[in-house]
Amino acid sequence: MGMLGRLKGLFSYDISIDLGTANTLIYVRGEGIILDEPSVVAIRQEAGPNSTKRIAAVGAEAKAMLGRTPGNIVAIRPMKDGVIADFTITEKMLQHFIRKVHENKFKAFKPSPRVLICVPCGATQVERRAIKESAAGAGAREVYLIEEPMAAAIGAGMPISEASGSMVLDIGGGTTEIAVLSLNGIVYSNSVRIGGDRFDEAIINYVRRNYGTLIGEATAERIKEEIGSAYPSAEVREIEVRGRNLAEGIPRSFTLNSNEILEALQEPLSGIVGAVKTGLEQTPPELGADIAEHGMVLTGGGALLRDLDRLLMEETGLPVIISEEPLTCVARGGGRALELMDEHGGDLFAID
Amino acid sequence: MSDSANHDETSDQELEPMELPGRRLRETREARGLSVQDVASNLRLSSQVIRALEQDDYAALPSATFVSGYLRAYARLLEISESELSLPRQAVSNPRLVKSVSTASEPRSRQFPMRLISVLIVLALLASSVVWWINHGNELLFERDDNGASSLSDTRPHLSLPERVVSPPELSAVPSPLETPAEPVDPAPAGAEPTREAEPAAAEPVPVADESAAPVLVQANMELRYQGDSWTEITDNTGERLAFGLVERGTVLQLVGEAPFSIQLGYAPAVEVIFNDEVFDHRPFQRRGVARFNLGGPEHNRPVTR
Repeated sequence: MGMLGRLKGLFSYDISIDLGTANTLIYVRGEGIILDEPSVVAIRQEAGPNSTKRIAAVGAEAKAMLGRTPGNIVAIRPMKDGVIADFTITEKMLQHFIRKVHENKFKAFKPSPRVLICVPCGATQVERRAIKESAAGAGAREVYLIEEPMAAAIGAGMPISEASGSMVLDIGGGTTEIAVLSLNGIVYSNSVRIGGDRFDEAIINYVRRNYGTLIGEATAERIKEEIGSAYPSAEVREIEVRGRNLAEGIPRSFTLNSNEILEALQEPLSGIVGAVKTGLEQTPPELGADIAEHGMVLTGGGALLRDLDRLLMEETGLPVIISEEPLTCVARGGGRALELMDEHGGDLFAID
Repeated sequence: MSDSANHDETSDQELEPMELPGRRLRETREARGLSVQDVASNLRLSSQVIRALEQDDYAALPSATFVSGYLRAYARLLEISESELSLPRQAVSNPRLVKSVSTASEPRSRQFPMRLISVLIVLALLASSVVWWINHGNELLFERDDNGASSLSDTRPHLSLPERVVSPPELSAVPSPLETPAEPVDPAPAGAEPTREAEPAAAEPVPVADESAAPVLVQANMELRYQGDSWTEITDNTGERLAFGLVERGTVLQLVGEAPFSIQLGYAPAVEVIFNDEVFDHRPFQRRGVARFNLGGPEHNRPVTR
């Protein structure tokens, strides 16, 4: 970093980005989380001979368009399974978010922040490079990558510096990350491509199979949030939804209850439980004993699924706790890691 | 965020003596007829932990994150809402991390004096360059004009105006110095053809110009062989996108399109590019593994800058 970079730094923030499949969060150092938007971009195909593509909307505005767009607009989720599915659009989206974050303070300058991005631990070198380059293309001056479970653990306030095992389970939109951490490092990590999106898909499939009715992603997500649960409970909740009846071809409304959704979610949930069990199997015995004593911590949007902690407790027999504000854990942890990097130099964590 | 944290801290300090959750939890548990053992087995914790929670004995418990998690799980078991139970706040947003290895002190670059000095130096540089340009800039413009005129005057008569060879080259150049840059770039085919027949000796520069222009119109084929995964983006002259996305190892891409191609490879060392049956060495364009270049056009062999 030369003189110019330092000069640019005067007019930009240090930010940490949780570039998730479902939501992108930006934590600004010294300010907190100031952006939390869905990772959705709406693109308009302009009419005319050159037919250029224009960004119509980004974030919450674009998400409202998902599945409801006319022919010339497509709403795209450029991230899939925790990694970049569309390079150019991810870059544009990041550019938009970074500009938005800087809007209120440094309006006159092109933002060039120092950026720390959280990547799934299962991401390949190519995927990591793609994420790094899209951030650089979006104007970042320096880009650091941190493994998502590490950021989640820091954000959840787990004692990862101690010589004691901490297990974190971060269930995001596209991936579930399991990691065992000790002494600022990752002892075991695994990433399975099951997350909130797979829950939604499972609900869509269930409703199509059992009700002969097609529902959209947004509806499936609403069902999951309102009555979805991971473990049977005495209380049965209901929700009324509308979808297109496949036989009649006409939108119909019908009622679903929480037991049906529990049944629908069995497959992705057993995938997550299986991954947790594999993780515990692979953990060295001393660290396993620490985890059995203190419990594992759930973070990410998936932790908000009702009774998921209960399911994991029953399946593993270990205490399971849900972190505070699970949705923002990763972004906050990334921001804290950025601060620690400055305090202690770059060698505190393995950051590429 | 920091504001809300401060607010919580102060409210905790005011209420702390009476509002710790232990007593409330114990009373509710007893009212429901549950034993410590029941709760412990339900939460998969040891009964010592449950007792410590009820006695607000945080010294006997693991770190704050876990304590607040246990308390919330316990409250949920007893169906007490989290807002009713004042949970002890702790530095969740600000976890204590200790460096496990040696502490290397790094010079802090964000200090105010450093910033001030860097700003001053840049301003000084800007000022001096402005002064220099005022003094020397005009001279530079004149020099460039002279060079252009003298170098062009040699080629001009051969290309399109063979009858002017008799007149001194200086004279032909001087009357129209502004037009000169345009002419040698696009030799008019009508002018070039008669030149080749009439003056075989002077015809040499013409085919050279033809060759550089010819591939622009030709359909070219290209083959990419992948020894590893690489991001690939290829656009041809018509703007049609021939390849876009992550290509996996072992793939062989066969592409046909109108040259020149604009190529971007995310991990170039793993990709072998064969252009018109010739292996193209793209190593000069690689920067940290990524290669961006054009193939088959007049910009051939020139790195694309972004």
